[in-house]
Amino acid sequence: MVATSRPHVNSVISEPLWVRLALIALALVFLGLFLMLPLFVVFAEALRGGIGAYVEAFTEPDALAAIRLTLITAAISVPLNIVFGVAAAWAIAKFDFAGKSLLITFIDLPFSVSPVIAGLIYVLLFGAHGWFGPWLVANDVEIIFAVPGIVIATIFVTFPFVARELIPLMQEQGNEEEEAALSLGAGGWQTFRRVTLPNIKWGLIYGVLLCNARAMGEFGAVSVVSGHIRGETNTMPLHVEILYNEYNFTAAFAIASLLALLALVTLVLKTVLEWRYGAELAAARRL
Amino acid sequence: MRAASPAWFRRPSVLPGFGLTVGISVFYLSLIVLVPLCGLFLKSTGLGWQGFWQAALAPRAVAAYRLSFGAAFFAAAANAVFGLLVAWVMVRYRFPGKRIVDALIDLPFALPTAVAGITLTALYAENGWIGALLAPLGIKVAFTPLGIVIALVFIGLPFVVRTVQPVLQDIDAEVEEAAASLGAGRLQTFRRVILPAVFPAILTGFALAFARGIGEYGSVIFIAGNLPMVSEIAPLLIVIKLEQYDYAGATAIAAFMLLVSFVLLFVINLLQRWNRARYL
Amino acid sequence: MRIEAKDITKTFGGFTALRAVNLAVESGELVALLGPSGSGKTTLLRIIAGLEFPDDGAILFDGDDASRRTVRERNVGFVFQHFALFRHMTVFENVAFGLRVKPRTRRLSEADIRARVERLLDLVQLTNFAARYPTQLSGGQRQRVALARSLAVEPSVLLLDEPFGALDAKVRRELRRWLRALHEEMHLTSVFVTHDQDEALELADQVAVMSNGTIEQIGSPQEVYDHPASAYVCEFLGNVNRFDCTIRGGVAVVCDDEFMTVRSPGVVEGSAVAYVRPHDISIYITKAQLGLPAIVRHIAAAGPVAVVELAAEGVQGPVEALLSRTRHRELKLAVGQSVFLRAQAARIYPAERPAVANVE
Repeated sequence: MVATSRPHVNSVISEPLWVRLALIALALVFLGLFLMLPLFVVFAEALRGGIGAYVEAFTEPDALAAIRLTLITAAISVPLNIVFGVAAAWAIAKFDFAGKSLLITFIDLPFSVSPVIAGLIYVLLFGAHGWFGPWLVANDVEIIFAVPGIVIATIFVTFPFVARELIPLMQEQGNEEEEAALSLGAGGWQTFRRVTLPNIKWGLIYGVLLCNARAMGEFGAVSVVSGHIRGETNTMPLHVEILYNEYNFTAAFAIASLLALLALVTLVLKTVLEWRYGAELAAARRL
Repeated sequence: MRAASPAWFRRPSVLPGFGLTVGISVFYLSLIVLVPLCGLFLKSTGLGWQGFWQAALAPRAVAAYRLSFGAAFFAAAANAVFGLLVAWVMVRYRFPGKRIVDALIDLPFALPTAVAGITLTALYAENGWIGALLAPLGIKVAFTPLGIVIALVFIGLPFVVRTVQPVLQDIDAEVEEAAASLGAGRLQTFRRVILPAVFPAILTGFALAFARGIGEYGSVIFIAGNLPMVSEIAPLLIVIKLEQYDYAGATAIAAFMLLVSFVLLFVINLLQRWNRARYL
Repeated sequence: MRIEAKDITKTFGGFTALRAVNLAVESGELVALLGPSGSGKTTLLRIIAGLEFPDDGAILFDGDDASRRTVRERNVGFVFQHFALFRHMTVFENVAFGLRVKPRTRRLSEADIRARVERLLDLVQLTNFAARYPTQLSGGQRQRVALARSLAVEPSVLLLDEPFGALDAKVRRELRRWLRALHEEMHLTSVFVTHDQDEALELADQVAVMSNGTIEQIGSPQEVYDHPASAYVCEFLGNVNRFDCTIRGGVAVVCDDEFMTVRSPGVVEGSAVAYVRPHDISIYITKAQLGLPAIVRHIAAAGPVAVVELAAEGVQGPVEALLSRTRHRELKLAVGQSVFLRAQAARIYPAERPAVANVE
C-alpha cells in the first residue's frame, strides 16, 4: 500500500518528536520481531548446513516431485479461478439481479472456512467412505489421496481471490465505457477484450498474484486430502512438513526458503503494482 | 433484442453476457463450494440430534474449541492494539525504509503457513533464537498455548493493519485542526476524535483476524505441542479424527465450527456495513 | 433521420421514470430535453439510443420500428455525460474504435480509417492531441474527443447526455457556440439532455420541457419562453417572481393591494398564481392606480441593468426587479426605501394546480 505522507510541519496535529520516535521504534520492534526475524530465520536455518546441503535438498527426487506437483496444482487451479473470477465480476458489477448480494457472500465463503474443513468436505464426498466413494472405487477413479483431490482443495481455498479483486474495481468503473463501445458498433466479446479487459488488467494481475501465492503455499486443505505419499501426492508445503517431522531441519528449511522466496517475489510484484497502478487498485483495496 | 430473463429477476441492460457469466459463476460456485458444504451438513444430520451433540461437545472437542477460540481471541486482541500502532505509524510518520516495511506487512498473507509454522517454532523453541532468551526467565512459548497465540498474532496482523490504514488515511487533517482549535490536547484529540473514527475498522480487523485464527492450521500445529486437552486445536482434532476414520466425529466438530464461522461472517458483514455507513 | 417516440413508459422498481411520453424530432433538427434531475430526460435519451428498454411504447426511426434493434444496430452517436472515453487508448484510437470493430467485410482499410480519424480530429480541432491519452486532456478537449468518436461511425442521429454538464462555465459557453456551428454545418438530427435552461434556449431548435416523467411542453425556444404552457414550465424556465394572488374583476390582487390588470383573456376569477419576470416589474415611488407596497432590500447596480431586490408584503421570498440604467438613475433608490410595484406582464395560472417548484 502506498502511504501518501502528509506534511508533518503542522505542530497542531502532530505529536512531539520523542513521542513520534517512540511510537516508530515500538512499531518497528514489533514488526521486526514478528515479521522480519522469522523471514531471516528461514534463510539462516536453510543455509546452516552449507550450500552443498542446501542444493542437495532440492535435487533429491522427492523434492523435485513436490515442486512439480505444486506447479501443476497452481497451473490448473489458478486459470480456473481466473475464468470464474472474471465471469462472476462481470455478472455482479455490470448487472442488477435478484440474489446478487447472496452471490457475493457465497463467493467470500471459502475465506471463512478453516482449510482443514475445506479438505474434509471433499473427503466426505469423494473419500472411500464418502457419498461417491463406492462409485469412484468401482470405476477406478482416484480423487482423494491423489492429484485431483489436491487440485480441488486448492481451488476451494483460492476461490475468492480473483473475483474479490475485480468486483469492486469493475463496479467503480461503471458501465459507460462498455455502453459507448456497444453504441459504436462493437460486439460483446470485442467490448470485453478491447475495453473491459485493458481497464481491469492490473487488478486481474494483482488477484492472480495473490491467488497463485496461496495456491502454491496451501497447507491445511491439501494436507487432509493428500495422503502424504512421498513423490506422488506431496506438494512443497507438505514436503516441508514431512522433512521437519523427520528432524531433517536443514532440508525442511531449504524447501521452506524456496516458498519464502515465492512469498517475497509475490510481495515485490504486488508492491510494484501498487506503486505504479495504485489509483486503479485503490477501489479493490477498500474492504 | 430484449432480455430473455423476466423483469423481476434482473434489470434489463444492453450489456451482453449476463446468462453466460451468471451461469458460470453459479455452476462453479455450487460445484466447488456450496454442494460440498451442504454435503457436510447433510452428513452431520445423519448422526441424529443426540449423536451430533455428543460428538461435537465431547470433552476433548470442547477443550479444543476453548483453546482455538481463546487463542484466536487473545491473538486478535493483541493485533488490534499493535495493528493500530503499526497502521498509525505507517500513515502518520516518515522514516527510512518505510515503503519496504509497508510491503512486508503483507508477508503473513503471502508466506505459506507451514513455513511460518516451522520458522516460529525454530525461533521460540527452548534452543531457538528467542526461546533461549526467554527460557532463563521461566517462560516457555513453543509447545504451549502461548505459542499458539504467537502464531496467530503473526497470521492475523495484516488483517487489522490493512483495515485500519485506509480509514486512518481518510481522516481529514482539518478535523484534527478543528479539535485543536477548540482547545483539545493531542491525546484528547486522539481519544475523542481519531479513535472513534477508526474504531469500527479496528473491530472489523479484529473480527477478521479472529475468524482466521479459529480455523488456522498450518502455522499452529508445529508450535502447538498438540497435547490432547491442553494444546490441541480444533482443526487438528478434525484431522486426527479423520486419520482414525472417525468420520462422524470429524464431521460434527467441523459442522459446529462452521456454524460459528458463519455467525462471525454475519457479524463481520454487519460491522463493515456500519463502517461504510458512517465513513463513506 | 426523423425520430419518433411513441407512448414510452419506463419504470425502475417502483419509480416511474417516464409515463406515456410522445416526442417527434424532425430530420436535421436540434432538440433539447430540458428538465430537473429525475424528470426522466436522460432515460428518454437512453431509450432512443437503445441503451435502455421501454416497458411500453415504441421508438421509430424514419417510421421504422427500431425498438427491437440493439444499440449496436441503431447507428446512433451517443455522447455520454462523463464522456466515457476509453482511458487506455490514445485520442486517435478512441476516435478510430468504432471503425476498427466493424466486421471485416465492412471495415475500411487502415489508410481510410487514418484519413477519416484525422479529418474528424481536424473538425474538433484536436489534430495535435492525437497521441495523448484522455487523462492528459482538459474537460473541453475530452468532450470534443467524445463527439468526434461518436461521429466517426457516421451516425444517423446524434444523442448527447448533458454534453456540457461536466465542464466549467467558460468552456461551456465556448463549446455551446461551437456545437451550434457544427450542427448548422452538418444538419445531423440531434437530441441533447440538459438541466440548464439557458443552454436549451440558446442552442435548440425545439425545446421539450420535462417534469416527473412527462413532457410539459414542446416548442421553439421563443414559444416556451413567451408562452409557457403551465406554471411548471414558467417557473422552470427561470428567473420569475411568483405571486400568490386573487383575481377580482380582472385585476390581480396581492394582500388587498391591487398589483396589475389582467389583460390575458380566459383567466378565471379567484385564487391564482402570477409569474412575473424581473424586467416586467416596474417600481414607482408614489402609489398610482395600482401598486403593491414593497421595501428595497438590496441594489446591485454594476452591469448593464440594475438588479433590485425587494421585500413585498404577502409575498414569500424576495422579489427581483430589473431596471435600465436610466430608470435607476431617475428613481435614486436607496436600501430601506418604501416603493410600489406593478407588473407590466404576467403569466397567470389558477391556483388549484400545484406548481412543481423544482427549479435547479
